[in-house]
Amino acid sequence: MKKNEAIEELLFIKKVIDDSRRITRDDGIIHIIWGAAVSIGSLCTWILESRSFGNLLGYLWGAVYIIAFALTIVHVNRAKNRPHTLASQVYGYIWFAVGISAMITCILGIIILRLPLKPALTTISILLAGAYFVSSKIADYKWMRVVAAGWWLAAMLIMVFDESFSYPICAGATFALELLSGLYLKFFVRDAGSAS
Amino acid sequence: MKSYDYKDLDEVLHSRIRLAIASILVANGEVDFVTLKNLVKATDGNMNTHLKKLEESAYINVKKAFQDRKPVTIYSLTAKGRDSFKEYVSRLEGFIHGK
Repeated sequence: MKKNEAIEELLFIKKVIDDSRRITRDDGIIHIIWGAAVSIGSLCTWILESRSFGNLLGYLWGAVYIIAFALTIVHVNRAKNRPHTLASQVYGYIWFAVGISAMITCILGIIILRLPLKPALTTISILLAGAYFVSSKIADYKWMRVVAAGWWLAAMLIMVFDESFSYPICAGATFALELLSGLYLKFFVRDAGSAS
Repeated sequence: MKSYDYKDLDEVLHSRIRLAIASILVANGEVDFVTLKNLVKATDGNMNTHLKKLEESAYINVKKAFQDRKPVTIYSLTAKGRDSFKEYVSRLEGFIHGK
């Protein structure tokens, strides 16, 4: 065996490891469901609040969460052949933990306890930024770091601007960073674990 | 410079498919058969042959589990397998760096 064969062998190991880390099989559907639901919900909230229909917000978000949850459960139950790897399990745990944390902040914090909007939406944005950033490493999706940066930027914008802009910023960020990320995962990202 | 002999390399890992399997298991902890097969791009029969060789050498652990009510076979590296993989990589690196 020659020196260049040893280099080739090491490059082969690196390629196999890199490819295997892209088997999260995140098909983007859950990002699309929640991206669409939350951006529509945020936009409707902004419209309702500006027209003094704030008393309808509980019903609106109740409906948004029930629909998004139902679609999520249907999708998870339909998903077949999920890979059993440590990387994919960690990926799933991160998004489950962030999803639950965001829902507690939204349902209990904003809707039921009527906590201030700015810190609540900032917290959710920072949670999503963290989840995207860690996911970018686990799944080796470098573009997710840009999405993470986008969520950090959204968090800063929510903090800086008046509370009346919080929902439009949230709607824009959810559309651009969650819905479009989901569509990108669905239509452009082919995972290495797919049968060839 | 120490001479480099292919015989110095671990015979079990000195096969593209077995090396690929070990690399995937090093990176992912534990992996099911179907995922492993799709990543390695090998046939069922080929995979079984190489997995058996790794199992007989005590390089991998095999466990049966259920996922979505379907049986799955999950593989992971043993401590011996992990050490052998590290040794294999360091021997390759040693050769490249002339150690």
